[in-house]
Amino acid sequence: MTEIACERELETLAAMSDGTWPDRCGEDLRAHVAACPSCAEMTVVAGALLDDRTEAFSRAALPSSGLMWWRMQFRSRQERARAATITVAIIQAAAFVAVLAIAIVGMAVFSPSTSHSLNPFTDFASFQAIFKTAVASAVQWGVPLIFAFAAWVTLAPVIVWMAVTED
Amino acid sequence: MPAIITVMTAGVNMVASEVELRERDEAAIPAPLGEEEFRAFYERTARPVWAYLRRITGDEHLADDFLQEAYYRFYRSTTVHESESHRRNYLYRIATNLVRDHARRHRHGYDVSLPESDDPNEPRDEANAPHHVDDRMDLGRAMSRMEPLQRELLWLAYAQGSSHEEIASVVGVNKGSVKSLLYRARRKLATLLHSSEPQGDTND
Repeated sequence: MTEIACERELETLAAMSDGTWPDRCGEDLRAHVAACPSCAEMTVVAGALLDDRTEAFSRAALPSSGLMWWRMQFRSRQERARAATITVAIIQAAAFVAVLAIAIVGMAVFSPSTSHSLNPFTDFASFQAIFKTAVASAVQWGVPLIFAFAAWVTLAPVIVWMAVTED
Repeated sequence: MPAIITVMTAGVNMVASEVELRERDEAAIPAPLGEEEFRAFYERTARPVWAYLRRITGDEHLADDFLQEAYYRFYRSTTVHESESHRRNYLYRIATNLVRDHARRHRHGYDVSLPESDDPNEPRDEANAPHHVDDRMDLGRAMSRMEPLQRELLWLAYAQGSSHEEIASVVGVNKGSVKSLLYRARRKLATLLHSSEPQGDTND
C-alpha cells in the first residue's frame, strides 16, 4: 500500500472548498478523479467533512463579538483583583508573623521570670544589649506604633486594589 | 522601633514593587488585541473554531464552553503573532489542548458522544436535501470510531484546508508525520463511510 498521495489532490480539494466541484470545474479534473482511487477516496471524505462544516456554520449560535469582548474584560478584571487580594494577604500575614516573632523573643529575653531558663541567650551579651534597646524603644513608642500598624494593615489593601484595577 | 518600622516599610515597599513590577511587565509584554482587532478576529474565526470543536468533541455544549475558554486564553496570552495565519493556528492549538485536557481530567478517553440527530422538528426537504445528507449522519458515527488525533487531522486537512505545517503546529506532531497519519486516517474514515451507507434508513 502506497502512502503517496496523488499530485492532483490539492487541486481537487481546492475545487471542493470553493464550490466549483464537480459541476463547475474542468472536465479534465472530473475525468482524473473518476480514474484515480486516491482522489476519489479523498472526494468522499472531504465531501462529508465539508458538508458537515457547512451544517455546523448554520447551526452555530455564537455570542456576538461585542458580548465576547465584554466577557474577556470582565473576567480579566476579576482575575487581577483576585491576584491582588492574594498578594496583600500574604504580605499582611508575613508582617504579622514578623511582629509576633519580635514580640515573643523580646518577652522571652527580658522577662524576669523566664530569663534564667534561657541560658543560650544570656551568653550573647551584645545581642541582648541591642535587643534591649529595641524593645525599650518599642515600649516608649508603643501606642503610636500600634496605631500606625493598624492603619497600614487597613489601608494597604485599599491602596493596592486601587493601584491594580484599571479605570 | 527601628526594627519594627523597618518591617512595616519593607511590607509597603513589597506591595509597591509588586505593583510597579506588574505595570512594567504589562508595558513590556505585547499588549493584547485591542477591541476592534479582537472583535474582527473573533468574527472571522469563531464559526470555524466552533465547528472544529463540535466535531472533535461531538458535543455542541462542550464546543460552546471550549470556544469561550479558548478565546479567553488567546486574549490573555503574551505570544507575539507574526501573521494572521500564525494567530489562527495558535487559537486552534489552544482549542485542541483544551479538549485534550478535558478528556484527561474526565478520563473519557475523548470518546465522542455522537451523533446529534437531526432536529425532529426541522422539516425535511427530501427533494432539495444534498445527496451527502446520509454521509453527514454517518459521518458522526464514523468519526466516533476514529482516534481523537485522527479526527483532528481530518478536520484540519479537509474541512479547514490547513497545510501540513499548520496541522503539525496545531496538533503537536512532527510535520513529517502528518502526511502518513493523515493518509491512514483518511483511509479509515473512507472505509467507515462506505460501510455505513444506508440500507433502508429507519430514522423517522
